[in-house]
Amino acid sequence: MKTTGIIDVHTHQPLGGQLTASQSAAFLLQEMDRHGVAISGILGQVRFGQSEEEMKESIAFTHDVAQQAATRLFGMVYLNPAMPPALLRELLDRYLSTPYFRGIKLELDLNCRDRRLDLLMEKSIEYDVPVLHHTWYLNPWDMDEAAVKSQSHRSESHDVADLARRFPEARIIMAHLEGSGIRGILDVAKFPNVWIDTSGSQPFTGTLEFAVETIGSRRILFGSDLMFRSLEGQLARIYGANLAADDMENILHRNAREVFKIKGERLS
Amino acid sequence: MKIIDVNAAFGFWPIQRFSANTLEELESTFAKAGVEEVWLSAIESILFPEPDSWDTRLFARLADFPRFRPVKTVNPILANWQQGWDRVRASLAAVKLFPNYHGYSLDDDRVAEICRKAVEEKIPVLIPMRVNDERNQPHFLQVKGVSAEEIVALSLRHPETCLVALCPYNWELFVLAKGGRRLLMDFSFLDGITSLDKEMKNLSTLERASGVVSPDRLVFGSGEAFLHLESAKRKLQFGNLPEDAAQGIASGNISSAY
Repeated sequence: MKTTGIIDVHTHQPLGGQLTASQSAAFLLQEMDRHGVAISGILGQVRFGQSEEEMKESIAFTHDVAQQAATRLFGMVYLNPAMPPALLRELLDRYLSTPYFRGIKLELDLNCRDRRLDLLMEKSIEYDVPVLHHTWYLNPWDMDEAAVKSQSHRSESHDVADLARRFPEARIIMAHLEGSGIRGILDVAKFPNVWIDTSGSQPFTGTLEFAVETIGSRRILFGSDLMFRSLEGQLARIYGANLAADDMENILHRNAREVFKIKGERLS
Repeated sequence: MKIIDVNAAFGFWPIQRFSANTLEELESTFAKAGVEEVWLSAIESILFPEPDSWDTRLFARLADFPRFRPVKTVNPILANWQQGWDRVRASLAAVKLFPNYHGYSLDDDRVAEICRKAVEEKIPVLIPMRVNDERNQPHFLQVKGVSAEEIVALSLRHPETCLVALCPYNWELFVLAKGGRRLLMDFSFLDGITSLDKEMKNLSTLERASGVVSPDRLVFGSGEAFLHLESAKRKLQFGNLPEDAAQGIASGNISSAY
């Protein structure tokens, strides 16, 4: 079983915004070292409905954190696709041309069936990087009004399937295996350009095994959702599952190497 | 380090396929992890209209698995809840209540009776606050978590009863901390948010929990078969707690609580 050299494709910087880039990177590395994670992809500080300034500030901070440990951390450009196309184009060209970014991250700002995503998808193909999209079959019955409102533009797995159909050349990571569940796995099963990351909720049993049986272990990536979740809990979803050692290796690092074009034990 | 898992269950749950689907598989999972004693209840007893049928079936099989100790699900709205309990009383590690699935309040007088009876029997009362993530429940099975405030109030009304709140979320620990001295909590559902201490050192799940409640009120609970045992094991392994606190959480706290 792989216990070192793990690649975690779904992490966030420490919460609170009080830390410097250097402190944030140190925090991530400390946690990664404790659990055998070699490389992590950082998605930025999640802010729904972020303004232009907040978006720029957030991406710049992700850049600075990744730069602090460039052989072990890489960033994803976290964008609000509802922003003006010229701005999105400028940010993508600026950051994806640096060695510190290897992907694009999208959250709750716009449902991914919206055609305003087209520009971002085309850029992901141009720069040969994946798009990681927050996805959840959320049941909002137990949520307050504000929380429900914040989720009104969320994407579900069938939306991601539509995106994959529209952009077969793009590599799409559907975040949160447990959030999309069995139905979500089935939604994207026939789209070979969609990978699923294992993050989301507590480490419930059975879902990962179903995913491996349905889409194969080559389309599943380890993601922890650190800082919202812990590596000790989220790695248990992989280590505790009834899977062959080879499937675990695929999930814990091999697939991420292909999706993010990572060669060797460290980022170059 | 001796580990007692107070939060395990076995059986069929219609909306989740488990990793361990036979008692042999479950036994093997716990044996590999070195968990010495496992308190096990029947999952079917949550949804089936009366728990005795499924409890009896499970308990009859546990004789072949000495690692497992039976936990009886008690539903006090049923006329025969006491008889069902009495029939198996000698073997029980604990009783388990599901007020959110069975439709009663913890203020109910019959719950007070259960608390008194548990003291007489010298066993704890386990209260799973949930078995899954409310956000992912299907539309036909929407069940709110048990109120932490109600558990606290129950513990203050029955200070002599050992109550164990299972599956609390991080934020619910702050409420449960206000309960009586014999109100304990497991850590099966605690996961993140990762944070730093004043010296900028990362805190583990159990270090954070121990900052909210005294570590002598935390107990080992895996949530198997719903959750991976591996998660609880790793939380303890990477807990970074003093040895006596870790040993207490692993088994000492529950052993000395009743």
